[in-house]
Amino acid sequence: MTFPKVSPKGLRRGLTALAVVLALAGVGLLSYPFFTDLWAWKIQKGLEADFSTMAKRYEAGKIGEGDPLTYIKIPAIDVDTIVVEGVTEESLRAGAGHYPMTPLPGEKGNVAIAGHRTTYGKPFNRIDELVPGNKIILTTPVGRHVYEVMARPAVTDPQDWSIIEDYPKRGSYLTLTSCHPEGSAAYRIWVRAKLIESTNTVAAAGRSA
Amino acid sequence: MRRFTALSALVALVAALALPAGAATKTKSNFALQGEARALEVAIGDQGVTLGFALSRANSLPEAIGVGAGQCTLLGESSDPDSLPCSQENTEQSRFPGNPGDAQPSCSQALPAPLSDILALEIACGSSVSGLKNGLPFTTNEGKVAELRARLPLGGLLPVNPASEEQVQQLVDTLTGTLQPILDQTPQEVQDAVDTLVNDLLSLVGSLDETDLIKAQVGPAFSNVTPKGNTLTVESTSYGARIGVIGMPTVGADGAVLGVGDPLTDGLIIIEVGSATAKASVNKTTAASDSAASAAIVTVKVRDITKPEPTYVELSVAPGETVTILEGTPAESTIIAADSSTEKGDGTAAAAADAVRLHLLKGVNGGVALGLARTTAAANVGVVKAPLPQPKKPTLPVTGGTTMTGLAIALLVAAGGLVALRRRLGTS
Repeated sequence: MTFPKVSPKGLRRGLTALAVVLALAGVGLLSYPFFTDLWAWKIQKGLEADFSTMAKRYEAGKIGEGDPLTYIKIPAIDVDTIVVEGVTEESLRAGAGHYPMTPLPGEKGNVAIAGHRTTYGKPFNRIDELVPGNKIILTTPVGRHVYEVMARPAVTDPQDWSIIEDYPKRGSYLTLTSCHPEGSAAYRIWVRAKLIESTNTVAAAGRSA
Repeated sequence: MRRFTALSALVALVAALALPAGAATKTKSNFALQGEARALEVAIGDQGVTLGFALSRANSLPEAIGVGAGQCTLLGESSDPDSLPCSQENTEQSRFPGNPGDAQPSCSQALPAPLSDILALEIACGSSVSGLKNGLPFTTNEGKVAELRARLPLGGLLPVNPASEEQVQQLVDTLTGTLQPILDQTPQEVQDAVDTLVNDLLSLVGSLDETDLIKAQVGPAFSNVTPKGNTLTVESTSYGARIGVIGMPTVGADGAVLGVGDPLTDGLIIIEVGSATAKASVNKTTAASDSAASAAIVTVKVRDITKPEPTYVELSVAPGETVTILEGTPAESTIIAADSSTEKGDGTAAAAADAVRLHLLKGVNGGVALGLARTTAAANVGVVKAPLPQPKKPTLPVTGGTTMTGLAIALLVAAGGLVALRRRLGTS
């Protein structure tokens, strides 16, 4: 078996081409999280504009996949983002999504929200830092609901759907889920909060008007 | 022993039912564990209540079921977690998958009528948590009551109902009517002394009727399934109790009855029941099993009423022994000390500590029957040799895959290396 003879010039060209391809791939991979963050930021801007028009659709229960559902604010870990309806890969490009099979914010039962831990704005990047007593504020087009973290976040298997299933205790609860550990999807981290305050902003605005 | 065999058979059946799902995963074994602890069971007449109840179950599906209850109506021999007659206010249930439960106890003071007329609860609580730890099920459950007081109607003992003023007055009139001709012949001091005696007797009987005849402080009941490495352990514990029967009357310097003492510290009978534990464990890979049980130790103290100072005669009741005290009196009580048993076989283990049985104040309207510190634990494992394909389960949304920073840096370093190689070739 013989190898074709390659001239030094050809070898240099080949190495240059390979170096360029590798460098582009490396830069591409390195900048991937920044691009996803940028993408999520762009989606969030569009959601902000749509949010103010959602009140009627929200009250009628006509919220589609990818529609803005609620602002989520967690002062303890600097979270302030819009949660969309749905937890498909596409919906979650906005950063955080509401599990459609769970109740809406403020309602009885267990409201569940999934959020990215890395990439796409990584709103739940510091979810593991939450401690009992931290406040989570959900502001929907029609109401404001304050939840209080009940216990430190826990880790479970990715197939453990029980954490977002209906919580049997009387009352209203919120469960946040994300991937764990950071940069891996091997497990899921979750935290549960209890509703402590709820205001119907539409009704309140109507009263004050 | 029959209960023990039935418990082992039930666990074996559950393990057998868990086999198909267990075999469908790559796990090499299927197992089932279950345990139960009951702190106190009270029966008065045809009514009954179980106070402080914990139940745990787990298997290789994997599933975990737990119950922690403060108060239930009297439970039978076996308890089905899906149909327990327990108070919703002080019962917590958990299940994996489905309901992780809550470590914060749910508490209330409620007792259903008409039991609430006789029994008073300080507070009853239940807590339960179930989940998966390193792929194995776990469940932690607690049921407890703070303090229990029983007030038995004394009507059967007395010619009158002390609560009825009319009947009491009739009794006083009868007594004084009968005694009057005699008293008329006696000096004034004797007449005064008899008056005081009659009033003291009536106030003592009245105060006994208004006081709690039986008071109990009961420790919590736990039942947990815990995985550690390849070993799963089910452990049920009941932390004993202190029971006081009939607080002794306090008599003043002038001989008048001042009141009735606390049955727990100054009772006619004080019974101390120690903790009871039943534990069974299995290794899911080797099928090794182990079990242990310790029944509650019972100490009975009976007040020596012949002595003016509080003096108690202490009796120890050996496991399985029956002792009857104050025989022939209304306060006659029987104590049956508990026994324990263990069983160990190939892949099976079971342990049980029977309840300490007390039948107190038999002469007062049938008295009160108590069962204390009953615990059971059983485990079963079967090892499956051939692993079968594992069906893929849907996962929760992926919200944080790798950012591949390491790979990106490696590619850039490789590109740099190629550029350096090209330069070297260019200069040679």
